[in-house]
Amino acid sequence: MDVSEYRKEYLEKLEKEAKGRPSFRDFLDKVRSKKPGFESLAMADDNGERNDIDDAVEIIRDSSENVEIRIHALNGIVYEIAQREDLIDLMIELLRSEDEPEKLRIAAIGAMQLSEFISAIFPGKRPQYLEILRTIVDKEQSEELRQQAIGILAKSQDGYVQERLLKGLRNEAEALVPPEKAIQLLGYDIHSEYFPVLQDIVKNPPNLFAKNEAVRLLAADADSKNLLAEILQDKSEHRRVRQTSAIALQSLAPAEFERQAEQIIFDDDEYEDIRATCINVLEGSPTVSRSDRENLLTVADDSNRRRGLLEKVKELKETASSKELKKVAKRYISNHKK
Amino acid sequence: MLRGLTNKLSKPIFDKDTPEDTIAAFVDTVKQSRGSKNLLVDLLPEQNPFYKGRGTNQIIRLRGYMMAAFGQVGLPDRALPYVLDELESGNDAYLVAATAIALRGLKQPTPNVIPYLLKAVSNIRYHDDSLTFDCYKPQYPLTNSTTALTEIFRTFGWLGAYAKEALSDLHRFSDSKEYSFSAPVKAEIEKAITSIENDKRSVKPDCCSIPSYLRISRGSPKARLKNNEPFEDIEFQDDDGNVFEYGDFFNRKPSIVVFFYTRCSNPNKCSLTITKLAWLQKALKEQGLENDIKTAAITYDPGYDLAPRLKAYGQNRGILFSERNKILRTTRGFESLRDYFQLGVNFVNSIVNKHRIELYILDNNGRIAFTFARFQWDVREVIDHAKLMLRGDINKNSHRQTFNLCNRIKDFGKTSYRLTASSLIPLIVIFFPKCPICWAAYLSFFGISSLKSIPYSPWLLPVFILLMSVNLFSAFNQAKSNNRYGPFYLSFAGILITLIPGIYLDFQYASYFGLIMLFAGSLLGNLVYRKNSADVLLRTLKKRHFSFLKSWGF
Repeated sequence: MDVSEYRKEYLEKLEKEAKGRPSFRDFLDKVRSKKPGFESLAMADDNGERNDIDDAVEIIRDSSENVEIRIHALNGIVYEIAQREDLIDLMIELLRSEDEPEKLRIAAIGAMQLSEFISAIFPGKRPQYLEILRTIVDKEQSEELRQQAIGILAKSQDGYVQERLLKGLRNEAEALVPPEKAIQLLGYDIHSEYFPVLQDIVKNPPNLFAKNEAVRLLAADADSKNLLAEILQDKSEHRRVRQTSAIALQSLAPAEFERQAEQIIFDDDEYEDIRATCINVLEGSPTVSRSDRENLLTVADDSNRRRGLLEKVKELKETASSKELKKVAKRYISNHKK
Repeated sequence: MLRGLTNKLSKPIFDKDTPEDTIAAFVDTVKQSRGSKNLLVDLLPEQNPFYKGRGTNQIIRLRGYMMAAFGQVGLPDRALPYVLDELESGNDAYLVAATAIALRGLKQPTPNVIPYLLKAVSNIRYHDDSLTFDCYKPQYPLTNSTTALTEIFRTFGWLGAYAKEALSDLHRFSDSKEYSFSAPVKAEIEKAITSIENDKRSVKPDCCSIPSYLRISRGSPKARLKNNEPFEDIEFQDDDGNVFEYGDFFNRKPSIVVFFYTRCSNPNKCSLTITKLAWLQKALKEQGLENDIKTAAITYDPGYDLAPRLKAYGQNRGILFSERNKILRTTRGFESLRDYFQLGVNFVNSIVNKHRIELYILDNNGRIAFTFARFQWDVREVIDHAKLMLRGDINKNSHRQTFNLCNRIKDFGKTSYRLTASSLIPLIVIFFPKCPICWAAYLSFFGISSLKSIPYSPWLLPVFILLMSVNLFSAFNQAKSNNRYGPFYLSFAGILITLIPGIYLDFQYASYFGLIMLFAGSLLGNLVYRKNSADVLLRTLKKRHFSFLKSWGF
């Protein structure tokens, strides 16, 4: 189909769909009248006339109004909020006020997140917004709001929240979130000083999830190569953690991973899901150059090694009881037959 | 830390285990004791051991708190490169705000900083934040908050008349919808505009760029040319996985080397460095120098930046890979490399936590000839300096000392000319005999009047005029380079008075007066224009007149 033809057809389709949607005025009327079904009313996309927007703002500001209605009104003008400085100020005001309902403030965060993405005005408001989020982390009663604020700040690599999360990992009494969540959030910034903490958690984990997250993040730390290799080889380790360490080691040190993975594949006492993971990860990883291998094989040895591995995988395809192992073995064989 | 009778603090001893609150407390103490501001400067180099093991955000907090303190205690000249570096390339609001405040600690405003402030506006406008320097690690909500943009525009206001050339930019920031600054920031811009427009101080235009000696240094930071080869234990792997030693690559031809790492989160640093390296490679090719000068980028992060990563990173930024153009990681000897280059980098575990921009030009023996550190380097300027290595490379066995010797002779020649033309000639002219009687006086003074000495001759007058012309020409060149024409006008007026009323109209005192003006103009022209900075003045004098002596070992 011609591109311009396709474009024309697509625009006609959009116009047709738009005609079927309620106008913003209809949306507001239904919201105001609290007719049944308003909760599932699709958001109008024409953003309405100016006085419609003002009506929606009035609803949002009205603290005596039903909170669900206020939320719907806010969500209805979320794109308009991103275009107007006074409406972004309104969202900041809602966030700042502890008297406002939690759900409404969460909706305000949603509007601000969208504005961060699409609004040309948002950069000017960013300092205020970040300050309020940090205040929420410190002082907020609502747990959900705190979690949202912590998540947003962590994603923007905020030093303040990183410090709080690290303190919480070192001392449970100061924890803002569960340890596995803290580790996950700290992982947004590899330049934070958490690697020693993660290594401690791997050795003395508060729970399995935290250990798994710590292993995952250690993929960024070149000094943890040996630790990851140990975990991968340790048959007493939880298999989920071993699988995570396989992926982490492959990312960090492909040559070392290849060596470890081949040992595991050849080990008939090894768990099938671990062998499947190793074949799978080997399959997806770029070929490690011979010069990177620590044992510096000759070309002939390298070729023999690969042939031997292929034969072993063929054997596993026939003899394995695990469907997953058979599947990955088949794929490996198919890609290495050539 | 002890306070002496001078109320000065002693140098602190911090290490990687010193709690950051302790360091912040020291900064607070320095703020109370203005005489110790230089101790803060000593804490700024990135390779300081106490930065080791700290996360990037912690380092930002510490350095920001230190830099903001300069706004209160005064900004030493040695700290200026660190401040300008952050303004030019930084992307963290806390540090940028701190450096904008630090500039207000300068003894004298200068228009030199305007390009850096404008660049900082561009860097930070989408990353601004609410912050305070009232205390370290404040509680939220802040009671007295500011933002990076606010502080930048406050500094424009502080510059006043010295920021006149930024007025059109400030008006653009204020009027254009393209810049969605908040109302408080816009108010700060308006205040700055008003302050600049109302400031009636007359500002002599200064050189528009930071002096090159702050950006480019000669030779290695460490004393070099030891007997033992410092590179023996350094081994590299290139982007294709080939392994070789330092001396196998950095030899026979000069090289341009940059440092970077793939996980750098500041696009103004490593990513831009490698992109510019690609431009530089292209420029070398256009000038037909691609076979004469090698290029290399070395990663700070060899444990993570394996060959395939280096290749992909370089390819994505247009790097040309060849036998003479490589991206490298160390497989051995990174600490030796770090030590030799005195790399401005530090680490938290294996990851870089802070680094500066650095480019080195190596001679054909792999030794550092030039260092471009901290500031964004210019492709053309780097190539020009690299070409100097080619000119110094007479034959395959050229030694750095030979090259240095040639350059020292050149430097000596240049400096001698400057000294002679600008200072000695006026002395000669002053005491030059302008009439037979003076000539006799000189001869009798020197005890040779009993000789049938050279009689006074009219041809001496053209010689006198020639000498004055040489002096005037030298004064004009100095005025042009300093962008300061006062001394030249003084010398010119002196010559006119000497020639016209003095010699032509024969007013003797006019001659003396004219010659004194000529001499004064020459003396003033030799003084580098840096107001209110006697120590910099002295340093510059030393640099101009005695640096060539130092390089010869005096």
